[in-house]
Order: sequence, then structure tokens, then C-alpha cells
Amino acid sequence: MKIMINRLIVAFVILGGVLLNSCKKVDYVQATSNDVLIGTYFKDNPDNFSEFYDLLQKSGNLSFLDAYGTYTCFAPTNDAIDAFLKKKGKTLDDFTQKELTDLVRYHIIIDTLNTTQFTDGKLPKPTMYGQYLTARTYFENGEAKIKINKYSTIVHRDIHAANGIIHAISTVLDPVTKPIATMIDEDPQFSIFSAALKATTLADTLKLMPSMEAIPTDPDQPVVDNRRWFTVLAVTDEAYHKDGINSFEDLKTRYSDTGDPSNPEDSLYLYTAYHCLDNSLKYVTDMVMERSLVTMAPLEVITIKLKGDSVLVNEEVFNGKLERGAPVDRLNSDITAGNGVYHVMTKNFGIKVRNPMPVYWDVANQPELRKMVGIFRKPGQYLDVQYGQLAGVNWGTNSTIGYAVDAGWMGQYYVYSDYLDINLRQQGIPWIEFTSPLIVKGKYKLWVCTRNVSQARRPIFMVYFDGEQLPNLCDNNVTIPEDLSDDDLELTGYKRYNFNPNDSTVVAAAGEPFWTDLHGRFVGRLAGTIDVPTTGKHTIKFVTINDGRDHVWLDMIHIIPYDDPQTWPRVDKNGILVDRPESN
Amino acid sequence: MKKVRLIILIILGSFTFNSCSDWLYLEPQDGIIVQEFWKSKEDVEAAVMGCYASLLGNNQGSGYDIPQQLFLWGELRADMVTTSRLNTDFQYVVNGDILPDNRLCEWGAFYRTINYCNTVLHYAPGVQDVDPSFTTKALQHYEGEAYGLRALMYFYLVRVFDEVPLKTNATTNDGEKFAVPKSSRTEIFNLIKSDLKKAEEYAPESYGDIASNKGRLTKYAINAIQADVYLWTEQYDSALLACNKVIDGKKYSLVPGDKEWFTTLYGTGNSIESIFELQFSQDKQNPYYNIFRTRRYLVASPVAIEEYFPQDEYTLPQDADVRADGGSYKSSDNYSIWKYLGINREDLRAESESWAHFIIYRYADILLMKSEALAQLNRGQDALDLIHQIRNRAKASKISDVWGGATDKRSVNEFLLAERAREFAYEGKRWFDILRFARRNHYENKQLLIDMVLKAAPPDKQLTIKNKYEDTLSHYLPIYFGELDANPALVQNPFYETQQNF
Repeated sequence: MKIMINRLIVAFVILGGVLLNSCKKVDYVQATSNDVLIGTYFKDNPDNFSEFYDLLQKSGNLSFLDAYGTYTCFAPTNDAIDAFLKKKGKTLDDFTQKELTDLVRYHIIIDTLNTTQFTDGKLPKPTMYGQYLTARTYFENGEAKIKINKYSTIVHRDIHAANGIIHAISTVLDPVTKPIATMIDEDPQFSIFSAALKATTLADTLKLMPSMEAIPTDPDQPVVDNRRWFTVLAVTDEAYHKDGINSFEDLKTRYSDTGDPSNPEDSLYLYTAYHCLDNSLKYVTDMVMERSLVTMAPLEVITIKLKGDSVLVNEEVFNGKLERGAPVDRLNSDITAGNGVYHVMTKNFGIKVRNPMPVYWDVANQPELRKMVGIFRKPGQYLDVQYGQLAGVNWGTNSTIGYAVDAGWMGQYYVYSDYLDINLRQQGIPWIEFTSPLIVKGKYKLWVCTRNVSQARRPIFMVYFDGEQLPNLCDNNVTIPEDLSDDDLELTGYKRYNFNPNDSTVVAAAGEPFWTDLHGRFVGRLAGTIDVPTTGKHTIKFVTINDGRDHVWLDMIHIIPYDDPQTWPRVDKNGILVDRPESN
Repeated sequence: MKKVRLIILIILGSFTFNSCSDWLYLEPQDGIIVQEFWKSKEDVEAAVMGCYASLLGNNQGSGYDIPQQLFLWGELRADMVTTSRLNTDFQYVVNGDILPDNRLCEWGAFYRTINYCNTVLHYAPGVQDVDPSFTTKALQHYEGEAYGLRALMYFYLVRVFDEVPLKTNATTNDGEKFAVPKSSRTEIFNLIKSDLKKAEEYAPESYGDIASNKGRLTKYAINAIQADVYLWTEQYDSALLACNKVIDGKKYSLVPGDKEWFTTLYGTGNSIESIFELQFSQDKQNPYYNIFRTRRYLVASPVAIEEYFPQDEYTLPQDADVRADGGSYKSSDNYSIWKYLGINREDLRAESESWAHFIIYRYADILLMKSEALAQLNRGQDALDLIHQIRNRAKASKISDVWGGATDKRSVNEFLLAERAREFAYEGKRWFDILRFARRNHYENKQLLIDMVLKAAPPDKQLTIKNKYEDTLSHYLPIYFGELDANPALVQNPFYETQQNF
């Protein structure tokens, strides 16, 4: 009986198991992914890709597309390849192995690039062939379309395969083999500019071709493309006509001072070199993002500004005046050449001759803050500025910095009553980097102007200009002794930078010495002498060396030409420069 | 022995067979099944209230329910907000890369409410058979509300997606066919208009108390929706007529632009100006505190603020436009979206007090919609008078009083559009305003829309975004990928298809 019951239990368990199973039958997918490999995708879709598959096989490039990896493949459709062969008047068998390989590798990038990662201009990584492709969205016949290299429409985007992404394209991409100098020469709208390139021998340089050996392309590493690319801003004949230059002779008369344009000292040579960028592959969008670029004219830079959707070269507010820039013809620019890219300029522009100018820089005057009209320079406001909120200030950690406007007594001293409140210390913000306003090339003294407090635990930091350390420490615990004259102070590397006419000592003494009654707390500290190599924007970085408790209260940075007076003029709370009063 | 075994087996067998049906059959203990509902007029009322309650959404987090979507659909693609902290979905929108997996495209909550309305319309007439006290007039009131609410939901959907499935019957059992294909814009608007016509006929002028008159659809609320719909379909005589019905009803007026203006209109809600609003409460709070304050995903865009509320150096703060700082946004609170965060012009709500109402229509909207219709009917001066009525109430700055002549239709339109931006800042209207003005007369003013998106476009994507918006299909959102998977009859908006002419 016992056995019987045991058997019954067994039967019950089995029966139960069977019955339970019978209620549901699930087909579990046993693969981790249904995606096929890129090569297999082409094989499985012969209606559209049989010829590309054929091309891959013949060129010997199929193997890696059928292995795991990260690729982006721009796949021409059968129609595209037919049209390409017809245009060349050849069949696939007429190409050499090398030609086929180059052609195929021009369609493949070692990385996975979705169309959402495309920007206007070159793709983030070069093709396996070595050249970059460009992408942009166009609006044609009532439809938005993405085109590669301006002519090949993506007809099916973002096809996900197991080893990357396929974009089907309507036209075969043909690598450009001609160098910039040749392409500009062949383009009739640049006859004057091309003549200038030839006369200055710059054309010879612009014929150098970079190596098209595939560069290391680990998808996890940023691309380091050290090949020699060029970028040229070519001025059209029409633009020259508007400027009264009707031939190369006119251009020579206007610019050449030695009469020998091939001499690198000649100003026509410099003019032409000013339109060329060496070691630099900059599509319009890249220029916009960089904002200032070094040209082939020694130590001369061009600046780029975006206004609405137009891109302007050398549009700058300089010394309080707006200098109008030259627009880049955005639609027709981004012309890819074998060794770089060139752009179409519809207005002539030349080197700006500028002498060193002092910069009295209110550091809190950042464009993003300026837009907040309810806060910017409004007494009593305090704003936590998030990391990433200011394009011109970088501090590399997630902490915030403060923008403060003093409503009280101190507001009479701070220039524009405002300052940046920076928790500069190891546990807070170990370093902070500012992008300067335009500084004309030359030799300067750099002053950091802060509000200090003596015998406190305020930050002590080093200053770096363009990555180079300056000699003097900035110690925010140092205040200025009241009895030192301006000249004596300057000898020790300090100055009084601000001016408050209501300061009791100013009113009382009405003569030397001029010091503030805030126990010398508003301090300009000479960080060092700097050589500014190029006219443009530069970086100034503070790096903490102590672990202070309090913050840096940063008001201004003064960058004053080496030979100019350093202690005057001073700046009042309205930002007005106050000259040294006549002593009576 | 064998017998016993057999008996046991039989018992066991019957036991297991039963398990598939009756044994597991239970009635829910925490809900009511349909057979037991729809027995009295109270049941109908409860069901209609359920329709309204569904508008408030059922989560407080980051999900995309009706309250979030009403705000996001109306503001995110327009120029008055900017992303402050990184939110992937929002960032993709700003970059012009709206993909079908963006949660901005979720429409499920709207169909949930539509189905509730359909259910009311399906079952409510039958209740008259079992509840003799349920009068035809009472039934019609409820039906009017359901028709009106359904029309409002479809009106949002058609403006956001252009073409959506039309579902007008209640989903009451699992056996139904779910795969409903999209209907054309015309079909959807026909349904909206016919629903609104019935709603206008049935819905009462008043429910007897203020809270119900602002939180439920009255006849005037239906007229407000009608005006908006007719402006969208470019039938300006009908729009004008609908506006006049509300104005002639004399039930509403503008809240005076004094220092109580904010508190009355937004801080407390249910004001004399309000026509229909989502009534959040202590028990059912809105999700905005989380988006605008705790996480700070979205803040007022300083660029737009500067453009629409220019600083007026010659005006004292107390005489400034009431809708500017402390009205629509708060500069001292990092440009937060103040309409949903403030108790009054100065003080922030506690997070536990986050029940500011979301206003869908108010009297100012009626006046400006009327102005819009008049402008299109070449009655420029009348249109300008109404705009100035709104401006005077708000003490608008002289700097923003910019218009050409009354006969210059274009300038009146631009003035009106800017005034709507000021008046309805962050009330979920801006994108629809821009799109409505842009698409009028076969997209006569497409540039308006493109200029707006360019302002916010990242510089390295400017041309791409510009050209995308040239394609008018991009003005409508894609169908959410989950919906496409669930409903094979749906066809994606061709702009978002990965294939073109292939």
C-alpha cells in the first residue's frame, strides 16, 4: 500500500507536470540577435545589392564585413553601380585590384555611425580609404534628404546589422584624387586667386597629397589624424571685381610690396597664405566650432563667427567697433579635394594689421550670462552656473560655480558689481580654464584681479597661459598694504585695479597714495609676462595648489601691453576706465 | 485497489481539467465588472468623472502622460523653453533628431481617455432602461461631455501626428479587432467637428458650481474648442461665430492685471477667466514640479524672453508687464517656468503643494482667437483692438507694441503671434500657434517656423535642421515604435521612414 501510494504520488507529479505544460507552449528564441552580418545582408538582398556584393568579393573586402566588428557601410544600390560603370565605360573586371579596393574602402568607416550622429560637414571619422566623407540634409522636391558628398542620396538609412550599420546610397562615391591647387585652377570662378597661388608658389605646397594609408582606427579611441591636410578660403573673381580688382595684376599692385610674390616676406605672399590653413582639414562646421584658426601666414589667425545661419570670417568687435566680416558661401563651400577642402568666399579679406591693445576683461561677462537679463549685473542676484553652461569657461567637474552681483557696499568696488565665485580647491574645482577675448599678438603683462582677505584660508593658485605656467603665485590671502605707493606696489607684483570715487580715502586724501579703504582687499596680482603668439582667443587657466576653505572671488583679468603703464587707468564699477588724477 | 487508483485518477483528472476554467474564475475584489456597473445615473456620472480624472495622468515620475504631453507637445519644439539639464529625449528634439523611440511620441494616454469616452457613449443610453430616474436631459449632458472630450483628444492628436487611427467604438472585450489603420486628416476633422456639434447641443451652460464649470466641459468650453478647430481648418467665419458665442454668454471676463493677477489666475486657479482647466489638487498633484524644478529639465529660454519681454529701462518694476518676470518665468530662480511653480509672483510652492492647474482654454484665448479670425477676414482694426485689450490688461511694455497699419495683414499677424507668445507663455500653445500661422494658405509662412527652429539649432547641425523643417511632414511627430509593433495596420509618417524611394 505504501508503495502504491508512492507510485500514485509519482504518477500525480508526472501527470501534473504534463498538464501544467499543456497549458502553454512557448517557442524560446535561442539566438542572442537576429541581425545578420553586413556581408550576409548584401547576399540576402540581391535585388538591391547583388552588384555591391559582387564588388566586395572581387575586391577581396568581403571577409571583414562578414566578421564581427564595428563598421558603417555606405552601400550603393545596383542602379548606382550600373550608372557608375556606364559613366566610366567599364565593367568591374576592367578595374585593377587596387582600384576596386580603394573604391570599396571609400564606402566603409570603422565605427558605427547613425544618421543622428551626422553633422553638417565631414563625418567624425575617415573612411578606410583615408579620405573623409561629408553629410548634409537637403530639401529637394518637397522632401528632406540626406546626401553624402553632396551628390549621393541615402535611400535607406540606419539598417542595423550585427557588425555595424548600413546606409544604402543612390550614387557610387568616387574618391577625389586631385589636389586643392589643381581643383581651384580648374574652377573658372577663381582665376585671380589661382594666379596668386601660383605666383606665390603656394600652389606647389597645395599639391602635396597626404598618405592614403589606412590610419589606425580603433573605434574606442579618438581619431588622431596627423596627415597633412589643407584648407583654403578661395576668393571668387566676382568678389575681387566688387573690390575693384579685375585681374591678377591689379591684385599684385594692391598687395605686393617687394614686387616678388614668391618671397615669403612679400605682402602678397602673406595675403595669399592668410587664405590657407596648413595641417588642418576644416569644413565650414568645423571652422564654426573652432572660432579661430591659424593660417599659413606666420602667426596670423582668422576668426569665424556664426550669425543666424551665415558664417563670417573676421567679424570682430575690436576696440569697441564692429568690423564687418567676409561671408562664406555656405551652400557651395565644403568642396572636398584629394588633400583637403576649400571654400568659396564672396568677399575679399586680408590680414588685419593690429597693434597690441590692453584688454580689461570682466571675466563674468560671458555670453550665456549676458542673455539672462534678469540676472546679469542686477544687484543682489546669485546664479549657480552648471558645468557645461558656459562655452568659454571649463572646469572639468560636475560642481557649479557662482555668478554673483553684489547689492551692498562691495558692489561699489567690484567692476560692474559682479564677480565669479569659484570653489578653487582640490576637493572642489581643482582647475578652471577661461577662453580670453581677442588678444592682438605681442608681449603683455597678465594681472589677475580678485577680492582677497588677509589671514584667511583662501585659495592659492598658479596661472597658465595657453598651457604654459606663469612665474608668480596668486595668493588670495594677500591684501595690499595701505601705505605703499602705486610704483612701489608694482615692483612687488601687485596693483590696485579698481576705482571707487566714493572711497573715503580717495575723497580725503585727494592725492597720493590712492588706496581703497577696504584694507587693500581688491588686488590685482601680476601672474607674469606673456608672449601672445597669434592674434586671437587664448586660454587662461587657474590651477589650485592649496586646499583653501574659501572661494576665489574673481572680478577681472587685465592683459596690458608690456610697455604700457600697468597701474593706471583703473576701472570703476560701471566699467569705465579712470585715468590717473592730476596730483595737486 | 485498482478501483481506488482509478477513482483517485478520475478525481485528480477532473480537478486539473477544471483548473483551466471555473476554478480560476474569480471576480475582481478591488474593481467592478461591467455587468455590475451601468445600473444607475450615479454610475454614469462616476464614469464621466473617470474620463476627466484620466486627463490628470496616473504617474508623477518621468513618464509621458497627458499633463506632460500637453506641455511638451506645445512647447518643446518651439522657442520659449530650453533644455537646462541633459535629458536625452529632449536633446534629440532640440537637435532635430526626433526618432520613433522618443517618448515625446507616446499617445497611449490619449487613447485611454478616448476609450473612456467611447465607453460612456456606448453604455450610458442603456442605463435609462434600468434607472427610470435617469432623464434624457441628464443623459445628454453626459453624452455632450464625452463627445466634447473625445473631440479635444483627437484635436490634439491630429495637430501633433496629422494622421492617427480613429476609434469611435468602445473596446469592451478582448475579441475585438485592434488593428485600426490611420485615418486621413479630413476624416479626423470631420469627426471632431461632428462630435463638437453634438457636444454643443447637449452640454449644459453650467453645472451649478465654480469648480465643475472650470473642470468639466460646458457649452462655452465646447465653443472654445470649436473656435480653435475652425482656425486650424481655416474657416474663419465659423471661428468668429464660436468666439462670439462665448463672449455673448457673458460668463467670463479677464482677471485684472494687478498684483493679485498671478495668484488668481495661476496660483489658485478656477478664476473668472478660466474656461477649461486640468484641476490638480493636494491629492492628485501635477508632474511639473519634477520637470521644471527638481530636475530642471526645462527652463525659460533667455533668448525668447529677451525677444518677447524686452527690458524697458523707463518702466518701474511694479508697472512692468505682469506676464514677464514673476509671471511666466522667474529670473531669480534660474529662469524657472513660474506659472506652475509660484504661489504668487514672489514665492515658490513647496513641492508638496504642486497642484497648479493646467489651463487649456481661458477668456483671453477667446479674445485672441477672435482677433485672429478677424485679421483673416480683413477686419484689421477690430483685430488690433482686441490685441490691445489683452495688452492693456497685462500692462504690456510700449517697446513690444510693434505693428504696421490695420490693413497690413502680415504685420497684424506677426503682432498677434508675438502677443500670443506673451499671453500664453508655457500654457502649451506656442508650437501649435507657430505651426498654425506657418501652414495657413498652403504654408505661406513656412519661413516663420524655420527661423524659429534655427534659433535653437546647434551650430554644427544648422543646415540639416533647416532642411528637415522644409519638409512639412517633419512638422508632425512619428508614431511611437511600440504602437507600430502592436498594430500592424499603422503606417509610419514617411518623413521618419528609413527608406526613401527605394
